[in-house]
Amino acid sequence: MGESEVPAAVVEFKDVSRRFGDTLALDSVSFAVRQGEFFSIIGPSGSGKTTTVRMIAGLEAPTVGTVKLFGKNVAAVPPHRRGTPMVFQSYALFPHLNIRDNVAYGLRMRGVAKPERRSRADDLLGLVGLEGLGDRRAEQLSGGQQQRVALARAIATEPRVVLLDEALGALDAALRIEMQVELKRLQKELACTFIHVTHDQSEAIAMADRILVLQGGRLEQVGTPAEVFARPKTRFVAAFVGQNNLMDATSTGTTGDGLHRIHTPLGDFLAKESDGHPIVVGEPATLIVRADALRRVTPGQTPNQFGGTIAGARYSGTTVTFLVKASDGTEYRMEEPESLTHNECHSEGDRLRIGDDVVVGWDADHAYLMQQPT
Amino acid sequence: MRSRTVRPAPPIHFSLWARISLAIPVIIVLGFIYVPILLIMLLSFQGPQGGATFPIRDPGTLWYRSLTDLSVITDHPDYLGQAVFDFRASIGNSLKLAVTTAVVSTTIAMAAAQAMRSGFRGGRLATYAILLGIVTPGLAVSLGLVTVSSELGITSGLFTTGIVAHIVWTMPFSFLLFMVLFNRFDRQLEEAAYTLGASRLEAFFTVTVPVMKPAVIGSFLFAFMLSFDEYAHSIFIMGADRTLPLMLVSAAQLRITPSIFALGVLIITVSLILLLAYVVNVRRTFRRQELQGA
Amino acid sequence: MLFSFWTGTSVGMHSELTTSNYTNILTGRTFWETVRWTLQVLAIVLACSTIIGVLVAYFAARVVAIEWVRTALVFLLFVPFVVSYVIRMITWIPLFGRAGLLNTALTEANILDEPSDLFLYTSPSMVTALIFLYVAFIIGPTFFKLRQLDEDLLRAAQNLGASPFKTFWSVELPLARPGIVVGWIFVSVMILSDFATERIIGGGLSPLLAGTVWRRAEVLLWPQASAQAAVLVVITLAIAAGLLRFAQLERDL
Repeated sequence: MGESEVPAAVVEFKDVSRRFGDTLALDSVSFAVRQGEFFSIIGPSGSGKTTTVRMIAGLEAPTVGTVKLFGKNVAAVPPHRRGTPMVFQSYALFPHLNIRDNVAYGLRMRGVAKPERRSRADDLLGLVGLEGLGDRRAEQLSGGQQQRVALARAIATEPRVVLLDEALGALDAALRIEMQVELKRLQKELACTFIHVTHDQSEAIAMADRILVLQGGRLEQVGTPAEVFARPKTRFVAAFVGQNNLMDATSTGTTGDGLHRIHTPLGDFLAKESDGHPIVVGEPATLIVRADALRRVTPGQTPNQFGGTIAGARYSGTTVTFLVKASDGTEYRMEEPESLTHNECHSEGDRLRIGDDVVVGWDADHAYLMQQPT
Repeated sequence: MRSRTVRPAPPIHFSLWARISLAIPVIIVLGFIYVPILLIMLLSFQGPQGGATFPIRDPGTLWYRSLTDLSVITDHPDYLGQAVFDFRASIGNSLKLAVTTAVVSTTIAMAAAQAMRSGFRGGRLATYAILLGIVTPGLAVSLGLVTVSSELGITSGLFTTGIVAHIVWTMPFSFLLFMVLFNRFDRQLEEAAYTLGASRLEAFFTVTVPVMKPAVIGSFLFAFMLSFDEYAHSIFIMGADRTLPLMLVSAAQLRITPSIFALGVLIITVSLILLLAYVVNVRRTFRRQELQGA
Repeated sequence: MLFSFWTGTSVGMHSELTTSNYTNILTGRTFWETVRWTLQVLAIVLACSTIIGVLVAYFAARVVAIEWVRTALVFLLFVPFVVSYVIRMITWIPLFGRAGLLNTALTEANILDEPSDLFLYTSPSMVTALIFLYVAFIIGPTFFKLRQLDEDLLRAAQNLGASPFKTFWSVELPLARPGIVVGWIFVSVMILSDFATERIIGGGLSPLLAGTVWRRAEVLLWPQASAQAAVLVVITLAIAAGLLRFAQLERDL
């Protein structure tokens, strides 16, 4: 392969399907991962994301289609010849080896001499912040430390691709965020391709250069976090990735400044169309309103508003998500910063309680129309 | 770093009366096991003049010496020229057979369990076939084996028919142990090894076998114990090589002497020591696995 | 692993080759009388050792609260698993034999006029011996099933007002059933294979099936012994398979 302008594809899937008995775990999926990028695969459980990453490692074989590594079809290459170390959710540290020998395992398999691989393992432990712990056993370390060991073990052989299967899934929330930052730093430092599987969209958005969304074995969307988050291509992506509210809508015409006049079960609103996805007047479409775009308004403050009742509230540290039940019975999510609810400036009477009547609205800029999939 | 889990209070509280009445069957069962063992332990130290019953006169280790030194019996003033049993050879036979059986049955069992784990057509049937070795009466196995071998012209002996019968008996136990511990085995350990560049064979020897070491040791000890004092799978088929239990029973049928008790004590002691080693080994493993799971 | 099959079939094969010679063995009254008696003994021993075994397992699993005491108790109860029954039986002779401790004690206390054979060489003594030889095989699996059980289940049952006995009867016993049935399989197989107890303890007066086979083989009546052994194997496998089905052990295997 010669040098080219476009970064070479490290991993390439072409119409890959995988069948387990009667279930289709992957349904002709095609995508490419570029050199040096942090690539996240997200989806709910059973979406085929783990199957995908296991196929890259060679732990599963496609039923149909081709998987290419560095431009070569790897159908006949066994896992140990692929050079794609994997970090598991359970870490899978070897219980009979100490930390140093765990990290050095890959080097040992390559025939690196003992003194050399040991000093290299110690360097790597330093890199992940575990210097001096080489003689410990895995069972003596905390979850976060075990995670770092698993990572050090994976990068020990200086692979060009590292696979992470729900690698942060077993950590608690605070540690997970710390590790997200560190993983990203490490990946940049090593200039190595990370392919990372998670069910947590916020984790993917925080780290990934690009995201692949899978659902039921089908590819829903590939794109940068900004694209996937702000411009979901399908209803599923919109609901899964962002905390989005979806509303059936039909355009009744356009205004002078490029906005559509739309008709919805909750009234007539104004909305813009998604970039590059023109909306046909009269065709059914979906209005997407992000949860954090929805806010309390005074009646008449904006054209985009509807009335409802607070049906529930969920506090999650810095934000509060209210469920607003509209007149047609549908519930919409409204996310407010926590400070707004408990701020001194707000009098007691301002605080929302379940059963309160509210009027909620949004700026036309923060919502857009999407064509319904046919 | 090791933290001991705090155990919650027992779920059920018993009155003293309930405790005592529930202890009665336990005491009876333990009594039936250990009072006789205690008695033969005492009787095995019987003096030269005492017989196979109480009271004990001039206790000593005479009868233990008689197991390897026949002159102890033949030089005895009461010796009337009855048959004497040379236990030395049979102890050697039993040890040789038990060690070989343990090695072979551990190896086969691990291979079989590994094969079963990766799953193949008829795996279930093969499992049942292996377990048949536990269920089939030992007497019938021995009888069948001696019939077949005589028809094939194979001479009965320790390492012909004997070892086959013993492996048929011990291998299923080893196999079950491997199956149970393989069930707890994290398959991702092997997968991690593959992705780190280990071939299947390398991963098997650098990961699977070391992690399964407790099962290997347990299987070896258990098979050794089972083989060392097995009687039913030994009758008819040892030919001229007599194992310890065979000697013991024929001696006991002829005349009960404190020699027999001394031998019984030896066998039981060896079994107990191996059992203890086994229990310690298993407990250490489980504790480690518990810690890892936590 | 094939040998167990092989030996099983070879015994059958051998008996078929010369069927005519000794069909009388299999049709004779005494043989089937022995089979019936063996099954009867098996039933009695199973019933008694289940009661005793479950009680002991329950004691070890629930009443004992200190972990190391439990471990020690289980260790002591585990010994019969590793010491062959022939050796354990020999240990009984000084206690129960004619010149044994029990007889001596009773005669000296003038309870008996002369040493009795009651403790050895009778059917009741044989049944008692069988019970205590093999009860450990019921205790073991039952104990492990009881320990596996989630203790919160018991707390829940007690919270709902169940007495310890009610809890045992309605929660623990049903959940321990697979363990008990595994014990039954063990005990059945052991008793059907046992050919020495009835001779050494039972005095050969009430022969069991395996002992009958042994006697024939000892006097080199190989064909007869083989034919009977085949029946023995068939009965054993049928009982084991039946119990296995009953317990639905496949799920646990």
